[in-house]
Amino acid sequence: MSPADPASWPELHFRAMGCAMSVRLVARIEAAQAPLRAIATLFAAVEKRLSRFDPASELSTLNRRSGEWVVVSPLLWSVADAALAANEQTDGLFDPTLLAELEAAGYDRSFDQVAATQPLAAETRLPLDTRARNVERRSGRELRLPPGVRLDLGGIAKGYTAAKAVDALRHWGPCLVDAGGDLVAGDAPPGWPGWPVGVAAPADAGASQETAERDLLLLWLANASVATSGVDYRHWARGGCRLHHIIDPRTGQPAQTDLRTATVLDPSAVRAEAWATAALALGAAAAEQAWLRKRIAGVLVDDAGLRVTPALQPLIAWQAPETLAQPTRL
Amino acid sequence: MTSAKRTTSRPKPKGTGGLTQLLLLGSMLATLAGTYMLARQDQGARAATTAQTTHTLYVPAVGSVGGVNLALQPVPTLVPASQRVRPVARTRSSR
Repeated sequence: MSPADPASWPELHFRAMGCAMSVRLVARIEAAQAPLRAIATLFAAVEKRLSRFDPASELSTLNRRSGEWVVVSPLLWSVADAALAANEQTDGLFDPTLLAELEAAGYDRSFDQVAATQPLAAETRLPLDTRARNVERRSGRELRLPPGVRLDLGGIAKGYTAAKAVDALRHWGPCLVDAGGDLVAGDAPPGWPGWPVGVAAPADAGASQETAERDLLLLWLANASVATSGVDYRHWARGGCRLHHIIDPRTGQPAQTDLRTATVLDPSAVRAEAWATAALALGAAAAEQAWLRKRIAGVLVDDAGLRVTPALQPLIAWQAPETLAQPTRL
Repeated sequence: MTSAKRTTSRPKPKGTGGLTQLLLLGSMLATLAGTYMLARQDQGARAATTAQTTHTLYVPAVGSVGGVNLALQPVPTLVPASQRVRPVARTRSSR
C-alpha cells in the first residue's frame, strides 16, 4: 500500500501577522480540528503582544519606553533574546533594532497600507553597528533599549511561533506549519522522507498574488525550518526609487542588493530567518562566501539564476530544468 | 639453530577443467551484464540530468580563518514534470 499523499492530511488556513498561514497535521480530521485551531489562536496571541503596528502591544510599549528598564513577559523576553542571539550569530548582519530605519523607508504601517506616504526622518542616535549590542538584559526579565532605539521582531516572531506550534503539535502527529512562507516541519509524514516543500521562484514584477507560482526546487523538510527573505514582493516606490523592507544594518537604508530572494534551511527557525535576511544585506557574492564558510544550507536567487549550497543538495528532490541552464551551484 | 623447511606439493585437480571454464564464463557474462546495465543507467541519468561532475571549490581565507576546500556533488537528478512530487507548501518571501 502506498503511503497517503501528504496533501491529503487535514489543513487549516488563517491570516495572522500580516501573512497567510497554514498548518497541516497527520491525524484524522476529527482529531486534528482542536489542535489546528489552537495553533491559529497561538499566532493571534503572539501577534497581539509583539505587533509593531499595534500601539497597545507589549512590544510597542517597550519601544515607547526606550532608555528605561522594563519588565517584559516571558514571550517578549524569549523572542527578543532569540533576535539578539541571531544578531550575534550573523555578525550584526541581521539586526532587530532597525525599526526607525524601516519606518523611514516608508514601511510604517502594515504592508497592505504602505502607500504614497512621505519618508520620515530616522531617529538614529547610536552607531548602527553597535545598536543591538547595546540592548541590555538583566535578571527578572528586564530589558533596556538604548534611547531612541526600537525593536522590530516581525520575522523572528513568525519563525519562533511556528517552531512553538510544531513543538505543541508533535504530540498529535507529524505536522507542517507555514507562517507566510517560512516553514517549520515536525516529523515526516508516514512513508515519506520529509514534507515536500517548494522553493518559490521570486514574484514577477506586476504579477498579482493569484498568479500561479513556480517552484525552483522541491525540498524534503523534516524536523527543520526553511525561511525565505526577498525584495521581490514587499517593495514600494518613493521619489522614483524602488524601496523594500530589508534594511542593511551597515547603512540604515534599504539594502542595495543584487539578490531577489535568499532561502535557508536550518534546524532553528530563527537562525534560518536571520541568515536569509543577512544574505539580502550582503548581496550575492558576499552571501555566497559567508554561507559556504558557515555551512549554511540554502539557495540564493538573483537575476542570473540560482545558487545552491552543498549543504542543501542532499535534501533536494528535484530542481526545475530551466534553472539548470544557469549558474546553479556554489 | 636449524630450521626445517616443509614443502608440500598440492595435487593437481583432476576432472575440474570443465567446471573452471564454466565459472569463468559465468563470471565474464555477469561482468558484461553488469557493465551493460550500468551503461544503460548512465545513459538514462544523462538524459535526465545535465552532465556535471564532482568538482572542488576553494573558499579563500578570511582573517585568521583559513581557506576551505569544498567537494561539490553533482546537481540532483532531474525528474520529468509528470513524475515530480507536488509540494504541499512553499517557502517564499513573506506575503
